[in-house]
Amino acid sequence: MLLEASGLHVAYGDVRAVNGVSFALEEGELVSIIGANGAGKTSILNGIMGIVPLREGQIRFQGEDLTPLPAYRRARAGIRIVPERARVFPRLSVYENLMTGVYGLKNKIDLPRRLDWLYGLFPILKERNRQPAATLSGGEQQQLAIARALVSDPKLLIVDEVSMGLMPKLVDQVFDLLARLNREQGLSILLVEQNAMASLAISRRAYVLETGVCVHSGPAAELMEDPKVKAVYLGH
Amino acid sequence: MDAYLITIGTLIVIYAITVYGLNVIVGYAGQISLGHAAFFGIGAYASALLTTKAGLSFWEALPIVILLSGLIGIVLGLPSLRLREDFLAITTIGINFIVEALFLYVPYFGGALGIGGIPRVFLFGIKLKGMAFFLLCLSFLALVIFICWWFTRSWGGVACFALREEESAAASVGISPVRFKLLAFVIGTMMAGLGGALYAHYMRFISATDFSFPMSITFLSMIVLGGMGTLWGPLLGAVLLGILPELFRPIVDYRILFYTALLLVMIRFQPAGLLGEGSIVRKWLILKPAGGRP
Ligand SMILES: Nc1ncnc2c1ncn2[C@@H]1O[C@H](COP(=O)(O)OP(=O)(O)OP(=O)(O)O)[C@@H](O)[C@H]1O
Ligand SMILES: [Mg+2]
Repeated sequence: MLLEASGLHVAYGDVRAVNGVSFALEEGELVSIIGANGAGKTSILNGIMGIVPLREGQIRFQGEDLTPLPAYRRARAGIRIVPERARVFPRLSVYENLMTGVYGLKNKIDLPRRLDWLYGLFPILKERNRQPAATLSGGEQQQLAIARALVSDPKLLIVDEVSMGLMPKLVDQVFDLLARLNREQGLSILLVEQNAMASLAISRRAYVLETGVCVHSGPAAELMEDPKVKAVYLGH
Repeated sequence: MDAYLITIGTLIVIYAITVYGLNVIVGYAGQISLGHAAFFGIGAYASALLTTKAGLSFWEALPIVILLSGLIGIVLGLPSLRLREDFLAITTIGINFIVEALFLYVPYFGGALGIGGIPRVFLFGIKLKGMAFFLLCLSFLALVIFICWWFTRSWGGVACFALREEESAAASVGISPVRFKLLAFVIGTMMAGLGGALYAHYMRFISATDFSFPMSITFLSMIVLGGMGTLWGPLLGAVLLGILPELFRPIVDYRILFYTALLLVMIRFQPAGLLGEGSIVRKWLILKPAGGRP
Protein backbone atom coordinates (compact mmCIF):
# COMPACT_ATOMS: atom_id res chain seq x y z
CA MET A 1 0.00 0.00 0.00
CA LEU A 2 1.24 3.45 -0.90
CA LEU A 3 -1.16 5.33 1.34
CA GLU A 4 -3.18 3.99 4.23
CA ALA A 5 -5.43 6.25 6.23
CA SER A 6 -7.21 4.75 9.19
CA GLY A 7 -9.83 6.20 11.48
CA LEU A 8 -9.33 9.83 10.46
CA HIS A 9 -11.10 12.44 12.53
CA VAL A 10 -10.96 16.13 11.67
CA ALA A 11 -12.76 18.84 13.60
CA TYR A 12 -12.78 22.63 13.58
CA GLY A 13 -13.71 23.65 17.08
CA ASP A 14 -17.14 22.11 17.56
CA VAL A 15 -17.64 21.37 13.88
CA ARG A 16 -16.91 17.71 13.32
CA ALA A 17 -15.99 17.51 9.66
CA VAL A 18 -14.61 13.95 9.39
CA ASN A 19 -15.65 11.12 11.69
CA GLY A 20 -13.55 8.02 11.42
CA VAL A 21 -12.85 7.63 7.74
CA SER A 22 -10.47 4.91 6.56
CA PHE A 23 -9.23 4.29 3.07
CA ALA A 24 -6.22 3.13 1.14
CA LEU A 25 -4.50 3.68 -2.14
CA GLU A 26 -2.20 1.27 -3.86
CA GLU A 27 0.82 2.31 -5.83
CA GLY A 28 -0.27 3.30 -9.33
CA GLU A 29 -3.94 3.63 -8.44
CA LEU A 30 -6.26 6.51 -9.18
CA VAL A 31 -8.81 6.72 -6.38
CA SER A 32 -11.68 9.18 -6.03
CA ILE A 33 -13.49 10.50 -3.02
CA ILE A 34 -16.94 11.81 -3.88
CA GLY A 35 -19.53 13.49 -1.73
CA ALA A 36 -21.78 16.52 -1.44
CA ASN A 37 -20.63 20.00 -0.45
CA GLY A 38 -19.45 20.01 3.12
CA ALA A 39 -19.12 16.22 3.26
CA GLY A 40 -15.52 16.57 4.46
CA LYS A 41 -13.55 15.84 1.29
CA THR A 42 -11.20 18.82 1.55
CA SER A 43 -10.75 18.16 5.26
CA ILE A 44 -9.55 14.63 4.51
CA LEU A 45 -7.12 15.76 1.82
CA ASN A 46 -5.75 18.56 4.01
CA GLY A 47 -5.50 16.12 6.88
CA ILE A 48 -3.36 13.82 4.76
CA MET A 49 -1.15 16.66 3.60
CA GLY A 50 -0.86 17.89 7.19
CA ILE A 51 -2.43 21.28 6.58
CA VAL A 52 -5.17 20.64 9.13
CA PRO A 53 -4.46 18.62 12.28
CA LEU A 54 -6.02 15.22 12.82
CA ARG A 55 -8.01 14.72 16.01
CA GLU A 56 -7.52 10.99 15.69
CA GLY A 57 -6.31 8.48 13.17
CA GLN A 58 -3.18 7.41 11.43
CA ILE A 59 -1.63 7.99 8.03
CA ARG A 60 0.94 5.63 6.61
CA PHE A 61 2.80 6.38 3.42
CA GLN A 62 5.05 3.73 1.91
CA GLY A 63 4.81 1.95 5.21
CA GLU A 64 6.07 4.95 7.15
CA ASP A 65 3.93 6.61 9.80
CA LEU A 66 3.39 10.22 8.68
CA THR A 67 0.97 11.14 11.45
CA PRO A 68 3.45 13.01 13.66
CA LEU A 69 5.12 14.83 10.75
CA PRO A 70 4.34 18.43 9.79
CA ALA A 71 3.18 19.26 6.27
CA TYR A 72 6.58 20.18 4.90
CA ARG A 73 8.03 16.81 5.91
CA ARG A 74 5.13 14.99 4.27
CA ALA A 75 5.79 17.01 1.13
CA ARG A 76 9.38 15.87 1.21
CA ALA A 77 8.23 12.28 1.46
CA GLY A 78 6.84 12.80 -2.05
CA ILE A 79 3.25 13.95 -1.57
CA ARG A 80 1.99 16.97 -3.47
CA ILE A 81 -1.42 18.61 -3.39
CA VAL A 82 -3.28 20.74 -5.89
CA PRO A 83 -5.25 22.59 -3.23
CA GLU A 84 -8.82 23.75 -3.44
CA ARG A 85 -8.84 27.21 -5.08
CA ALA A 86 -5.27 26.78 -6.36
CA ARG A 87 -3.50 28.76 -3.59
CA VAL A 88 -0.74 30.00 -5.83
CA PHE A 89 1.67 32.56 -4.37
CA PRO A 90 0.11 35.77 -5.70
CA ARG A 91 3.10 38.11 -5.64
CA LEU A 92 5.62 35.60 -6.90
CA SER A 93 6.02 35.27 -10.64
CA VAL A 94 4.70 32.23 -12.45
CA TYR A 95 8.25 30.95 -12.77
CA GLU A 96 8.97 31.45 -9.07
CA ASN A 97 5.76 29.63 -8.21
CA LEU A 98 7.00 26.69 -10.23
CA MET A 99 10.38 26.90 -8.51
CA THR A 100 8.80 26.62 -5.07
CA GLY A 101 7.51 23.26 -6.30
CA VAL A 102 11.05 21.89 -6.55
CA TYR A 103 12.27 23.46 -3.33
CA GLY A 104 15.07 21.25 -2.04
CA LEU A 105 14.92 19.00 -5.10
CA LYS A 106 16.56 21.12 -7.75
CA ASN A 107 19.54 18.81 -8.08
CA LYS A 108 17.58 15.61 -7.79
CA ILE A 109 15.35 16.04 -10.81
CA ASP A 110 15.90 16.97 -14.43
CA LEU A 111 14.38 20.41 -14.04
CA PRO A 112 14.70 21.73 -17.62
CA ARG A 113 13.00 18.62 -18.96
CA ARG A 114 10.17 18.78 -16.48
CA LEU A 115 9.65 22.47 -17.18
CA ASP A 116 9.58 21.82 -20.93
CA TRP A 117 7.05 19.08 -20.40
CA LEU A 118 4.84 21.31 -18.22
CA TYR A 119 5.09 24.25 -20.62
CA GLY A 120 3.99 21.85 -23.34
CA LEU A 121 0.94 20.89 -21.27
CA PHE A 122 0.16 24.45 -20.19
CA PRO A 123 1.60 26.85 -22.78
CA ILE A 124 0.07 29.85 -21.01
CA LEU A 125 2.49 29.33 -18.13
CA LYS A 126 5.44 29.81 -20.41
CA GLU A 127 3.88 32.89 -21.95
CA ARG A 128 3.20 34.43 -18.53
CA ASN A 129 6.46 33.27 -16.99
CA ARG A 130 7.53 36.63 -15.54
CA GLN A 131 4.10 37.82 -14.51
CA PRO A 132 2.96 37.82 -10.86
CA ALA A 133 0.65 34.86 -10.32
CA ALA A 134 -2.03 37.23 -8.98
CA THR A 135 -2.48 38.59 -12.49
CA LEU A 136 -3.43 35.17 -13.88
CA SER A 137 -7.09 34.32 -14.40
CA GLY A 138 -8.69 31.78 -12.08
CA GLY A 139 -8.34 29.01 -14.62
CA GLU A 140 -4.74 29.91 -15.30
CA GLN A 141 -4.02 29.82 -11.58
CA GLN A 142 -5.45 26.30 -11.47
CA GLN A 143 -3.07 25.30 -14.24
CA LEU A 144 -0.20 26.84 -12.32
CA ALA A 145 -1.21 24.94 -9.17
CA ILE A 146 -1.23 21.69 -11.12
CA ALA A 147 2.16 22.45 -12.63
CA ARG A 148 3.59 23.46 -9.25
CA ALA A 149 2.54 20.08 -7.87
CA LEU A 150 3.76 18.08 -10.86
CA VAL A 151 7.12 19.73 -11.39
CA SER A 152 8.60 17.80 -8.46
CA ASP A 153 7.67 14.40 -9.91
CA PRO A 154 5.65 13.37 -6.83
CA LYS A 155 4.93 9.82 -5.72
CA LEU A 156 1.38 10.72 -4.75
CA LEU A 157 -0.64 13.52 -6.26
CA ILE A 158 -3.63 14.80 -4.30
CA VAL A 159 -6.08 16.84 -6.35
CA ASP A 160 -8.87 18.90 -4.77
CA GLU A 161 -11.51 20.11 -7.22
CA VAL A 162 -9.17 20.98 -9.97
CA SER A 163 -12.01 21.71 -12.37
CA MET A 164 -13.17 24.69 -10.32
CA GLY A 165 -13.04 27.70 -12.60
CA LEU A 166 -11.69 25.83 -15.60
CA MET A 167 -13.53 26.04 -18.89
CA PRO A 168 -15.11 22.74 -20.03
CA LYS A 169 -12.51 22.15 -22.69
CA LEU A 170 -9.73 22.50 -20.11
CA VAL A 171 -11.57 20.32 -17.62
CA ASP A 172 -11.54 17.57 -20.22
CA GLN A 173 -7.88 18.22 -20.90
CA VAL A 174 -6.96 18.10 -17.22
CA PHE A 175 -8.92 14.92 -16.61
CA ASP A 176 -7.34 13.45 -19.68
CA LEU A 177 -3.93 14.48 -18.36
CA LEU A 178 -4.56 12.91 -14.94
CA ALA A 179 -5.77 9.70 -16.53
CA ARG A 180 -2.73 9.62 -18.80
CA LEU A 181 -0.26 10.36 -16.00
CA ASN A 182 -1.81 7.55 -14.05
CA ARG A 183 -1.90 5.07 -16.92
CA GLU A 184 1.36 5.86 -18.65
CA GLN A 185 3.62 7.00 -15.85
CA GLY A 186 2.00 5.04 -13.07
CA LEU A 187 1.43 8.18 -10.99
CA SER A 188 -0.73 7.49 -7.93
CA ILE A 189 -3.55 10.00 -7.65
CA LEU A 190 -6.12 10.74 -4.97
CA LEU A 191 -8.86 12.76 -6.59
CA VAL A 192 -11.70 14.83 -5.23
CA GLU A 193 -14.01 16.29 -7.78
CA GLN A 194 -17.37 17.99 -7.81
CA ASN A 195 -18.18 16.31 -11.07
CA ALA A 196 -18.58 12.78 -9.71
CA MET A 197 -19.28 11.22 -13.10
CA ALA A 198 -16.10 12.55 -14.64
CA SER A 199 -13.97 11.52 -11.71
CA LEU A 200 -15.45 8.03 -11.47
CA ALA A 201 -14.89 7.60 -15.18
CA ILE A 202 -11.12 7.80 -14.77
CA SER A 203 -10.84 6.18 -11.32
CA ARG A 204 -10.18 2.58 -10.46
CA ARG A 205 -11.87 2.75 -7.09
CA ALA A 206 -13.84 5.33 -5.16
CA TYR A 207 -15.12 6.19 -1.70
CA VAL A 208 -18.45 7.90 -1.16
CA LEU A 209 -18.53 10.34 1.73
CA GLU A 210 -21.58 11.63 3.57
CA THR A 211 -21.26 14.19 6.39
CA GLY A 212 -17.85 13.00 7.42
CA VAL A 213 -18.52 9.27 7.17
CA CYS A 214 -17.67 6.87 4.37
CA VAL A 215 -20.95 5.26 3.24
CA HIS A 216 -19.89 3.33 0.14
CA SER A 217 -16.70 2.19 -1.44
CA GLY A 218 -15.70 -0.04 -4.25
CA PRO A 219 -14.57 -0.18 -7.84
CA ALA A 220 -15.53 3.01 -9.67
CA ALA A 221 -17.30 1.10 -12.41
CA GLU A 222 -19.60 -0.56 -9.84
CA LEU A 223 -20.35 2.69 -8.03
CA MET A 224 -21.33 4.27 -11.32
CA GLU A 225 -24.01 1.59 -11.68
CA ASP A 226 -25.15 1.66 -8.04
CA PRO A 227 -28.70 3.08 -8.03
CA LYS A 228 -28.23 4.87 -4.69
CA VAL A 229 -25.02 6.54 -5.75
CA LYS A 230 -26.55 7.39 -9.10
CA ALA A 231 -29.54 9.01 -7.47
CA VAL A 232 -27.57 11.17 -5.09
CA TYR A 233 -24.33 12.05 -6.83
CA LEU A 234 -24.71 11.44 -10.48
CA GLY A 235 -27.95 13.31 -10.98
CA HIS A 236 -29.96 10.46 -12.48
CA MET B 1 29.77 69.15 3.78
CA ASP B 2 27.98 70.93 6.56
CA ALA B 3 28.42 69.21 9.95
CA TYR B 4 24.70 69.46 10.58
CA LEU B 5 23.90 67.65 7.35
CA ILE B 6 26.46 64.97 8.15
CA THR B 7 24.88 64.44 11.55
CA ILE B 8 21.42 63.97 10.08
CA GLY B 9 22.80 61.91 7.23
CA THR B 10 24.66 59.57 9.57
CA LEU B 11 21.60 58.97 11.71
CA ILE B 12 19.46 58.36 8.65
CA VAL B 13 21.94 55.80 7.35
CA ILE B 14 22.07 54.05 10.73
CA TYR B 15 18.27 53.96 10.89
CA ALA B 16 18.17 52.69 7.32
CA ILE B 17 20.47 49.76 8.20
CA THR B 18 18.20 48.86 11.10
CA VAL B 19 15.06 49.28 9.07
CA TYR B 20 16.36 46.99 6.33
CA GLY B 21 16.50 44.35 9.02
CA LEU B 22 12.90 45.03 9.99
CA ASN B 23 11.99 44.78 6.33
CA VAL B 24 13.36 41.24 6.17
CA ILE B 25 11.15 40.21 9.10
CA VAL B 26 7.99 42.14 8.24
CA GLY B 27 8.27 42.70 4.51
CA TYR B 28 9.88 39.47 3.35
CA ALA B 29 8.64 36.95 5.89
CA GLY B 30 5.35 38.66 6.76
CA GLN B 31 5.95 38.47 10.51
CA ILE B 32 4.70 41.57 12.22
CA SER B 33 7.22 43.04 14.66
CA LEU B 34 6.48 46.03 16.84
CA GLY B 35 9.61 45.61 18.95
CA HIS B 36 12.45 46.15 16.54
CA ALA B 37 13.97 48.91 18.68
CA ALA B 38 14.75 46.23 21.25
CA PHE B 39 17.20 44.57 18.87
CA PHE B 40 18.61 47.93 17.86
CA GLY B 41 19.15 48.50 21.58
CA ILE B 42 20.67 45.07 22.17
CA GLY B 43 23.25 45.79 19.47
CA ALA B 44 23.98 49.22 20.93
CA TYR B 45 24.30 48.02 24.53
CA ALA B 46 26.33 44.96 23.58
CA SER B 47 28.83 47.02 21.63
CA ALA B 48 28.92 49.74 24.28
CA LEU B 49 29.60 47.23 27.06
CA LEU B 50 32.16 45.24 25.10
CA THR B 51 34.12 48.37 24.21
CA THR B 52 33.87 50.17 27.54
CA LYS B 53 33.89 47.38 30.13
CA ALA B 54 35.60 44.54 28.25
CA GLY B 55 38.07 46.79 26.51
CA LEU B 56 37.53 45.44 23.00
CA SER B 57 37.80 47.63 19.95
CA PHE B 58 34.74 48.33 17.81
CA TRP B 59 35.97 45.86 15.21
CA GLU B 60 36.68 43.12 17.72
CA ALA B 61 33.29 43.63 19.32
CA LEU B 62 31.28 43.83 16.10
CA PRO B 63 31.17 40.10 15.19
CA ILE B 64 30.20 39.26 18.76
CA VAL B 65 27.54 41.96 18.74
CA ILE B 66 26.05 40.74 15.48
CA LEU B 67 26.09 37.08 16.53
CA LEU B 68 24.56 37.92 19.89
CA SER B 69 21.80 39.96 18.24
CA GLY B 70 21.05 37.06 15.92
CA LEU B 71 20.98 34.56 18.78
CA ILE B 72 18.63 36.65 20.87
CA GLY B 73 16.65 37.17 17.66
CA ILE B 74 16.14 33.40 17.37
CA VAL B 75 14.98 33.09 20.96
CA LEU B 76 12.61 36.02 20.72
CA GLY B 77 11.55 34.94 17.23
CA LEU B 78 10.29 31.61 18.56
CA PRO B 79 6.90 33.04 19.55
CA SER B 80 6.30 33.95 15.90
CA LEU B 81 6.10 30.26 15.11
CA ARG B 82 3.14 29.63 17.33
CA LEU B 83 1.29 32.89 17.53
CA ARG B 84 -1.36 34.41 15.34
CA GLU B 85 -0.57 37.77 13.85
CA ASP B 86 -2.37 39.91 16.42
CA PHE B 87 -0.77 38.06 19.34
CA LEU B 88 2.61 38.34 17.72
CA ALA B 89 2.17 42.12 17.49
CA ILE B 90 1.44 42.30 21.21
CA THR B 91 4.24 39.90 22.09
CA THR B 92 6.82 41.94 20.20
CA ILE B 93 5.63 45.11 21.94
CA GLY B 94 6.08 43.24 25.21
CA ILE B 95 9.61 42.22 24.23
CA ASN B 96 10.42 45.86 23.56
CA PHE B 97 9.21 46.94 27.01
CA ILE B 98 11.01 44.12 28.78
CA VAL B 99 14.31 44.80 27.05
CA GLU B 100 14.01 48.51 27.75
CA ALA B 101 13.22 47.79 31.40
CA LEU B 102 16.26 45.51 31.68
CA PHE B 103 18.49 48.29 30.33
CA LEU B 104 16.92 50.68 32.77
CA TYR B 105 16.87 48.63 35.96
CA VAL B 106 19.86 46.31 35.77
CA PRO B 107 22.76 48.25 37.30
CA TYR B 108 25.26 46.53 35.02
CA PHE B 109 23.60 48.27 32.07
CA GLY B 110 24.13 51.67 33.63
CA GLY B 111 20.58 52.16 34.88
CA ALA B 112 18.91 55.46 34.13
CA LEU B 113 22.27 57.06 33.42
CA GLY B 114 22.93 54.71 30.53
CA ILE B 115 26.42 54.13 29.23
CA GLY B 116 28.78 56.93 28.35
CA GLY B 117 32.34 57.21 27.16
CA ILE B 118 31.80 54.83 24.27
CA PRO B 119 34.94 55.04 22.14
CA ARG B 120 34.98 56.22 18.58
CA VAL B 121 35.64 53.82 15.75
CA PHE B 122 39.19 53.58 14.44
CA LEU B 123 40.08 52.28 11.02
CA PHE B 124 43.74 51.70 10.11
CA GLY B 125 44.68 53.79 13.09
CA ILE B 126 42.55 56.70 11.96
CA LYS B 127 39.79 57.99 14.19
CA LEU B 128 36.56 58.10 12.18
CA LYS B 129 34.64 61.30 12.75
CA GLY B 130 32.15 63.33 10.77
CA MET B 131 32.37 62.55 7.09
CA ALA B 132 34.63 59.52 7.62
CA PHE B 133 32.18 57.88 10.01
CA PHE B 134 29.31 58.75 7.67
CA LEU B 135 31.13 56.94 4.87
CA LEU B 136 31.72 53.95 7.12
CA CYS B 137 28.00 53.77 7.88
CA LEU B 138 27.23 54.20 4.21
CA SER B 139 29.47 51.24 3.36
CA PHE B 140 27.66 49.10 5.91
CA LEU B 141 24.33 50.23 4.43
CA ALA B 142 25.51 49.24 0.97
CA LEU B 143 26.46 45.84 2.34
CA VAL B 144 23.09 45.43 4.03
CA ILE B 145 21.21 46.41 0.86
CA PHE B 146 23.34 43.97 -1.11
CA ILE B 147 22.53 41.17 1.33
CA CYS B 148 18.83 41.97 1.05
CA TRP B 149 19.04 42.00 -2.73
CA TRP B 150 20.88 38.69 -2.73
CA PHE B 151 18.43 37.22 -0.24
CA THR B 152 15.38 38.07 -2.37
CA ARG B 153 17.01 36.20 -5.23
CA SER B 154 17.98 33.16 -3.20
CA TRP B 155 15.93 30.11 -2.29
CA GLY B 156 15.61 31.50 1.21
CA GLY B 157 13.96 34.63 -0.12
CA VAL B 158 11.55 32.77 -2.36
CA ALA B 159 10.71 30.45 0.54
CA CYS B 160 9.99 33.43 2.81
CA PHE B 161 7.78 35.09 0.19
CA ALA B 162 5.88 31.86 -0.35
CA LEU B 163 5.32 31.49 3.40
CA ARG B 164 4.21 35.09 3.70
CA GLU B 165 1.61 34.66 0.98
CA GLU B 166 0.19 31.18 1.55
CA GLU B 167 1.71 29.44 4.51
CA SER B 168 -0.04 26.11 4.10
CA ALA B 169 0.62 26.00 0.36
CA ALA B 170 4.28 26.71 1.07
CA ALA B 171 4.46 23.93 3.64
CA SER B 172 2.80 21.65 1.10
CA VAL B 173 5.73 22.02 -1.27
CA GLY B 174 8.22 21.19 1.46
CA ILE B 175 9.13 24.64 2.78
CA SER B 176 9.63 24.52 6.54
CA PRO B 177 7.81 27.46 8.16
CA VAL B 178 9.93 27.17 11.29
CA ARG B 179 13.21 27.34 9.47
CA PHE B 180 12.47 30.32 7.28
CA LYS B 181 10.61 32.42 9.79
CA LEU B 182 13.55 32.02 12.15
CA LEU B 183 15.99 32.72 9.32
CA ALA B 184 14.20 36.00 8.64
CA PHE B 185 14.29 36.86 12.34
CA VAL B 186 17.99 36.10 12.54
CA ILE B 187 18.92 38.17 9.49
CA GLY B 188 16.64 41.00 10.58
CA THR B 189 17.90 41.18 14.14
CA MET B 190 21.53 40.93 13.05
CA MET B 191 21.01 43.99 10.89
CA ALA B 192 19.37 45.76 13.81
CA GLY B 193 22.36 44.78 15.95
CA LEU B 194 24.74 46.27 13.41
CA GLY B 195 22.67 49.46 13.29
CA GLY B 196 22.67 49.59 17.09
CA ALA B 197 26.44 49.18 17.32
CA LEU B 198 27.00 52.03 14.85
CA TYR B 199 24.51 54.12 16.78
CA ALA B 200 26.31 53.56 20.08
CA HIS B 201 29.70 54.53 18.69
CA TYR B 202 28.24 57.51 16.93
CA MET B 203 26.30 58.93 19.88
CA ARG B 204 28.99 57.74 22.33
CA PHE B 205 26.38 57.89 25.03
CA ILE B 206 23.28 55.70 25.10
CA SER B 207 20.42 55.18 27.49
CA ALA B 208 17.40 52.92 27.64
CA THR B 209 14.93 55.48 26.30
CA ASP B 210 16.74 55.58 22.97
CA PHE B 211 15.34 52.11 22.35
CA SER B 212 11.82 52.42 23.61
CA PHE B 213 8.57 51.48 21.90
CA PRO B 214 8.13 54.80 20.02
CA MET B 215 11.41 54.02 18.24
CA SER B 216 9.91 50.72 17.07
CA ILE B 217 6.91 52.61 15.72
CA THR B 218 9.27 54.98 13.92
CA PHE B 219 11.07 52.04 12.31
CA LEU B 220 7.81 50.44 11.27
CA SER B 221 6.56 53.75 9.86
CA MET B 222 9.69 53.97 7.75
CA ILE B 223 9.08 50.68 5.97
CA VAL B 224 5.34 51.21 5.67
CA LEU B 225 5.97 54.63 4.13
CA GLY B 226 8.73 53.53 1.81
CA GLY B 227 7.23 50.23 0.77
CA MET B 228 7.22 47.04 2.76
CA GLY B 229 9.10 44.20 1.15
CA THR B 230 10.64 46.35 -1.58
CA LEU B 231 14.37 46.79 -2.01
CA TRP B 232 14.54 50.60 -1.89
CA GLY B 233 11.48 51.32 0.24
CA PRO B 234 13.27 51.13 3.60
CA LEU B 235 15.89 53.62 2.42
CA LEU B 236 13.28 56.04 1.12
CA GLY B 237 11.30 55.71 4.34
CA ALA B 238 14.35 56.30 6.52
CA VAL B 239 15.36 59.35 4.49
CA LEU B 240 11.87 60.90 4.48
CA LEU B 241 11.13 60.29 8.14
CA GLY B 242 14.69 61.22 9.07
CA ILE B 243 14.47 64.59 7.33
CA LEU B 244 10.90 65.50 8.13
CA PRO B 245 11.37 66.23 11.84
CA GLU B 246 14.33 68.44 10.93
CA LEU B 247 12.24 70.43 8.49
CA PHE B 248 9.29 70.79 10.81
CA ARG B 249 10.80 71.26 14.22
CA PRO B 250 7.43 71.79 15.92
CA ILE B 251 6.30 68.26 15.15
CA VAL B 252 9.17 66.73 17.09
CA ASP B 253 7.09 66.66 20.26
CA TYR B 254 4.22 65.06 18.42
CA ARG B 255 6.37 62.63 16.51
CA ILE B 256 4.55 59.51 17.61
CA LEU B 257 1.16 61.04 16.97
CA PHE B 258 2.40 61.99 13.53
CA TYR B 259 3.84 58.55 12.80
CA THR B 260 0.71 56.81 13.96
CA ALA B 261 -1.41 59.05 11.75
CA LEU B 262 1.00 58.41 8.92
CA LEU B 263 0.73 54.65 9.42
CA LEU B 264 -3.05 54.82 9.29
CA VAL B 265 -3.07 57.04 6.20
CA MET B 266 -0.59 54.83 4.39
CA ILE B 267 -2.41 51.63 5.25
CA ARG B 268 -5.68 53.17 4.08
CA PHE B 269 -4.49 54.79 0.85
CA GLN B 270 -1.14 53.29 -0.11
CA PRO B 271 -0.90 49.93 1.62
CA ALA B 272 2.04 48.86 -0.51
CA GLY B 273 4.06 51.95 0.43
CA LEU B 274 5.50 54.65 -1.80
CA LEU B 275 7.60 52.17 -3.76
CA GLY B 276 5.25 49.21 -3.58
CA GLU B 277 3.23 47.75 -6.42
CA GLY B 278 0.45 49.99 -7.66
CA SER B 279 1.74 52.99 -5.68
CA ILE B 280 1.58 56.59 -6.84
CA VAL B 281 5.34 56.88 -7.09
CA ARG B 282 5.56 53.80 -9.26
CA LYS B 283 2.86 55.19 -11.50
CA TRP B 284 4.71 58.50 -11.73
CA LEU B 285 7.93 56.83 -12.63
CA ILE B 286 6.09 54.39 -14.89
CA LEU B 287 8.20 51.64 -13.45
CA LYS B 288 7.45 48.21 -14.72
CA PRO B 289 5.86 45.93 -12.14
CA ALA B 290 8.55 44.22 -10.15
CA GLY B 291 7.75 40.96 -11.91
CA GLY B 292 6.39 39.44 -8.74
CA ARG B 293 9.39 40.61 -6.80
CA PRO B 294 7.67 42.40 -3.99
N1 LIG C 1 -11.73 26.16 8.82
C1 LIG C 1 -12.95 25.69 9.13
N2 LIG C 1 -13.57 26.13 10.25
C2 LIG C 1 -14.79 25.64 10.58
N3 LIG C 1 -15.45 24.75 9.88
C3 LIG C 1 -14.89 24.27 8.76
C4 LIG C 1 -13.62 24.73 8.33
N4 LIG C 1 -13.30 24.09 7.17
C5 LIG C 1 -14.34 23.28 6.91
N5 LIG C 1 -15.30 23.39 7.85
C6 LIG C 1 -16.55 22.63 7.90
O1 LIG C 1 -16.24 21.27 7.81
C7 LIG C 1 -17.15 20.59 6.97
C8 LIG C 1 -16.41 19.87 5.88
O2 LIG C 1 -15.79 20.82 5.04
P1 LIG C 1 -14.92 20.42 3.79
O3 LIG C 1 -14.32 21.66 3.25
O4 LIG C 1 -14.01 19.33 4.15
O5 LIG C 1 -16.03 19.88 2.78
P2 LIG C 1 -15.90 19.44 1.27
O6 LIG C 1 -16.42 18.06 1.17
O7 LIG C 1 -14.55 19.68 0.75
O8 LIG C 1 -16.94 20.43 0.57
P3 LIG C 1 -16.90 21.10 -0.90
O9 LIG C 1 -17.40 20.07 -1.86
O10 LIG C 1 -17.87 22.22 -0.80
O11 LIG C 1 -15.51 21.54 -1.16
C9 LIG C 1 -18.13 21.64 6.47
O12 LIG C 1 -19.30 21.56 7.22
C10 LIG C 1 -17.43 22.95 6.72
O13 LIG C 1 -18.36 23.95 7.02
MG1 LIG D 1 -13.74 20.92 -0.67
